[in-house]
Amino acid sequence: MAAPLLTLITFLPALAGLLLSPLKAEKGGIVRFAALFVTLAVLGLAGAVWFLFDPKGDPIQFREDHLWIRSLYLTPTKGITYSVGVDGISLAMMVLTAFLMPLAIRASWHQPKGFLITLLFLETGMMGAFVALDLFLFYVFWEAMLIPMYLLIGIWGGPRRIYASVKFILYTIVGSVLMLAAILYAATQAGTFDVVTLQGQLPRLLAGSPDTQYWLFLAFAVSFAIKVPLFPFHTWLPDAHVEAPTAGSVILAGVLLKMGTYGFLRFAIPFFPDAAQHFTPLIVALSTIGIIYGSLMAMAQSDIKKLVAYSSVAHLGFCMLGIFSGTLQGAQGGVLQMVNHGLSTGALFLLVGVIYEKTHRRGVDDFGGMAKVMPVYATLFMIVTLSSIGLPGLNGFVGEFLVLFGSFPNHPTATAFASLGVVLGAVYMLKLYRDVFFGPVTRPEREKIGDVEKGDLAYLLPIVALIILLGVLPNLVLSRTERSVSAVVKNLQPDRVSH
Amino acid sequence: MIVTGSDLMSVVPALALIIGAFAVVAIGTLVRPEKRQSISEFICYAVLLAALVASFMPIARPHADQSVATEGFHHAVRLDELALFMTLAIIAATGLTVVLSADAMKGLEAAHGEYYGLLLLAASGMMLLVEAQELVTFFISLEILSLALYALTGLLRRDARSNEAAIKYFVMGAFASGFVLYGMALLYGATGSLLIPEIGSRIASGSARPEALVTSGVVLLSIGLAFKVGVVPFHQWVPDVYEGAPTSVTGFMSVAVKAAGFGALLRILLTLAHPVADTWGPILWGLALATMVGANLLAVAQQNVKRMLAYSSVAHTGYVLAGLAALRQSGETSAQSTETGAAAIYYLFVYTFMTLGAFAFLIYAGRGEKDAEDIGDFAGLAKRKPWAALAMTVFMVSLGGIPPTAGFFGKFLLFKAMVQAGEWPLVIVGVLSSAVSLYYYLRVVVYMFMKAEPQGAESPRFGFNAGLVVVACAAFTLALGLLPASYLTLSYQSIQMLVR
Repeated sequence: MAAPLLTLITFLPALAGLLLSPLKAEKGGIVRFAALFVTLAVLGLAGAVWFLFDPKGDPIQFREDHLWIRSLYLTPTKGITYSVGVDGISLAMMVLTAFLMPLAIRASWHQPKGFLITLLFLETGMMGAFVALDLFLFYVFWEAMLIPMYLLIGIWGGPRRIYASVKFILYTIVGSVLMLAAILYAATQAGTFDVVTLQGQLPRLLAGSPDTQYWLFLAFAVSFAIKVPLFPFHTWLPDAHVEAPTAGSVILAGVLLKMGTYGFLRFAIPFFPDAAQHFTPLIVALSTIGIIYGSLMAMAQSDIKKLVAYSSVAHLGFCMLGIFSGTLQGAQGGVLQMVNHGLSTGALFLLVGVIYEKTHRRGVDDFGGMAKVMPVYATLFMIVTLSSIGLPGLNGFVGEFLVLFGSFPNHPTATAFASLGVVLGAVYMLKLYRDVFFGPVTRPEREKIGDVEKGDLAYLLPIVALIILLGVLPNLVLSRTERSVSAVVKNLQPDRVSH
Repeated sequence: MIVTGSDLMSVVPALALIIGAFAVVAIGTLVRPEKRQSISEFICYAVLLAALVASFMPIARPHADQSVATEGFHHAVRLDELALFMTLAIIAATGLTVVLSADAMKGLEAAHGEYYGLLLLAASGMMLLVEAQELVTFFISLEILSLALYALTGLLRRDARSNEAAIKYFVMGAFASGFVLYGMALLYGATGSLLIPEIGSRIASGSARPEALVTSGVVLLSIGLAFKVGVVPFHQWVPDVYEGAPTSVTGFMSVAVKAAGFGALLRILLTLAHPVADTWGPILWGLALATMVGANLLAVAQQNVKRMLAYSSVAHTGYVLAGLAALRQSGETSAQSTETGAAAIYYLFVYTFMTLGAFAFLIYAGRGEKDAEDIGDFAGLAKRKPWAALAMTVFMVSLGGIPPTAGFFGKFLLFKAMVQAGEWPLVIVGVLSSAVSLYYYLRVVVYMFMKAEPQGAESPRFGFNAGLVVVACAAFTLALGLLPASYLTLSYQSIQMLVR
C-alpha cells in the first residue's frame, strides 16, 4: 500500500487545526466549514481503509514503520518507532471515531473557533491511540488526547465544568502513570516497544513469574478500567458527562470510553494472558455489578444527561462481560457492543443537546408531552431509545444477545444478573421516554419550542440510519473483527497453549 | 605556580564569563546611566557567545572513542563531555535570563551594572563547579556561585521580601557551606587526598582509614549539598527565597543552580562514590522519596504561583535525585550507569527550558511593577493573549509530565532507569506524585482559560523580551519532546566517557 492512509487519517485533523488557529475569531464560518470538510475527508479515508481491509488477509494491515527516536545507547536498542496499522478491532474503532467526528462538529455549529480546533486535535489523539502499534507511541497519544478533552469540558462546559474537568484528568492520569511504570518494565524486559512482538514474547517471558504478571496486568487494567469505566472506578464519568458540551459528551461516550475496552483487547489480555485468566472472575463480577448498579442509578436520575451517563456504565459493563467471557461469541458481542454504544449513546447525547440548546434545561421534569410538540424529534428519540434497550432489528440487540449467549457457558450466575440489567435498561429508558414525550404538555412555554431543524437533522439522520443498518446487517462489523477477536479470546481459554 | 596555556584552555568558558563580569561592572561606572543597560547586555551576549562556541565546538564533533577532555591546574579542573554538556545548559539559562532581564528590570531602581556582573559571575561559578574534580576547587566554585546569588536575591533593596530572602538564603547557605567543608575535611583526613578520583580509588582499595571518617564525611557532604540544592527536609528556605528574589533571578536560580549542582553531584557519584554506595545510596534514596512526596504535597496548597514554582522546583530535584539513587544498583554495569546518568542530564537540560519559560511568563504577564504571582493574576489571560497562554500551558503540561512535551520524555527516561535498576518504591512514588503535581500545574491553566478576568483589571505589561523567551522556551520544550534523539545521543556520550 503506497499511500500512508493511516498517517493521513491520524494527522490531517491536527494539521488542519494548526493551519486554522491563526485565523481571526470573526472567521468562525471558515473554520466551521473547514473543520467539517476535514473530518469528512478523514471519514472518507477511513471508509476507504474499511473497504480495502481484507478480513482474510494479514492480521495487521496498512502497516507503516518508521524509526522515530533512534539512539544507539537507548535500550531497547531498536529505538522507538512510529508504527501504525489496523486489525479488525482497531479498524472498527477508527471508523466509529471518523463517523462520529463530523457529527460532533456539525452539532457544535454555534461554538467558537477554539472549540472546533480543539475537537480536531482530539481526533488526532484518538486516531493515533487506535492505530499505534508501538507501545511508546500509544502512550503518547493516550495521554496527549486528555488535554483537548480537558479543555473542551473545562472551557466550554456547564456550571461545574472546572470541577468535572479536573476530576476527569486526575482520575485518568493516576491510572496512566501506573501503566507507564508497567510499560517501562515490560518493554525493557522484552527489549522492544513493538506491540506485535510484545504480544508474542511477553507471555513466554513472564510465564515463570506469575506474581510479576499479576502486578503488570493490574497496572494496565486499572488504567483501562478507569477509562471504561468499570465499577467502582466510574465516579468521574457522570460529572464529566453532565458538564461537557454536547460534542464533548458524544466523543467522550462514543470514543474515549472505548479506549478502555480497546486497551484490554489490545494490550492487557494478550500481554498477560495468565493474569487475565486469574483476574477474570473479579472483572466479570465488577462488570455485572456495573450493569446492575449503573441501571439502578440511571433509574434514579432526574437529569437526562446524568441518566445517559449511568446507562453508559451499564452498557460498558456488557462490553467488559463479553470481552472476558472467554468465548468468541461473547467477545464479538462485546466488540460489537462497543460500536453500538458509541452510536446509540452518541445519538442520545446529540438528541439531548438539541433540546438543551433550545431550552437550556435537561431535567426530566422540565419536559412532558413533547411528542405532540416535536413529532419528528420524538420519532428519532424512540428509535434511539429502542436501540439502546436492545430491540431486535436495531443494533443493540445483536450485541447484547451475543454477549449474554457467549458468557452463559462460563459465567452462568453473572449472565443471569446481567440479563436482569437488560430488563432494568428497558425500565429506565422507557420511563424516560414516557416522562418526556407522553402525556399532556406540562409546561406551557414548551408549546412553541418547535421541532428539530434541518441543521440538526443533518447530524441526527446519519447516525439513526447507521443504527438501523447495523441492526439488520451486524455482519458488516463482525466479519471484519472476527479474526482479531478470536486471537484475543484464545488467551482467555483454559487450554491456552503457551507458545 | 605557573599557569600554562593548557590550564587556561580547561577553563575557557568560565574565564570568558569572569572577564565579562568585570568588564560589565567597570564599564558600567564609566558610561552614562541610560546607556548602561544596553552596553551591559551587549557584553553579556558577547561573552556568552564566546563561551557557547568554546563549549559547543568540542562536543559537536563525533567522538565515539576519544574523549575531548582537557585537564588543568594539576588536575583540579577537568573540562570533559559532562562539563561541556552542563555548561551548555548553564549558558542557555544565563542567555535566556539576560534576554528576560530587559523586561524584568524595567522600572526597578536596581542598578544594572552589578546585576549583569553578578549574573555572569554566578554562571562562571557554576561552570567551574561542574568541572571541579578537586575538593577545594569544588568548594570555591560553590561559594562563587552562592555569594553572587545571595547578592542577586537581595537586589530589590527597598523590598522587604527581597531583603528577607537574601538574609535567609545567606544564613542557610553559610550553614550548609560549613557542612560541606567539614565533610571535605573528614574525607581528606581519611584518604590524604583532595582529588576526587584519587579519593575514590583509595576508598576502593581499602587504604582509607578509619572507615567511620569516610562514612561521616560522605554524610556531611551529602547534607551540605542537599541544603544547597534544596532537598526535603532541607528545603524550607527555597520558597521564601524564590518568592522574594526578583523573578528573573528566581528563574535563573531554579534552573542553572540545579544544572550545576547535579552536574557536580553526578561527577562525584560516578567517580568517587561507587565504592561507598552503601553509605550514600540509602541517604540519596530516602531524600529522593521524601522530596518527591513532600514537595508535591506542599505545592498543592500554594496560591502564589511563584511559590508554587519554587515547590515544583524542589519536586523536580526529587525526580532527578531518584534517578541518581538508582545509580547505587546500576553502578554495577557501566551500560546502566550510562543510561541513568544520561537520563538525569537530559532531564536537567529540558527542565531548564520549561521552568525558565514559566518564570518568563510570570514577568510577561506582570502588571505595573509587579510580576504575575497570585493565581488570580492569571484569570482570563487566554482571552488577552491566547498564544502566550498556550505556551504557558505547554510549560505546565511539560512540568506535569504529559506527552508530547520534553518533560514527559525526560521523566520517561528517568523512570526507565529506575525500573531497570529495580527501584520499585521510587518508581511508584515518583509516578504517583507526578500525577499529583498535575493538579497544581493545571490550576494555572484553569485560571488562564476557564476563569474570567476581574472587572477593571489593569492590562498586563506583555513585554517583548519576556515574550521572546516564552516563545523560545515553548519551542524547545516541544522540540525536545517530539524529536529528542540527537540531544539524547549527546547526553549519552557525555556520560559514557566518564563511566569507562
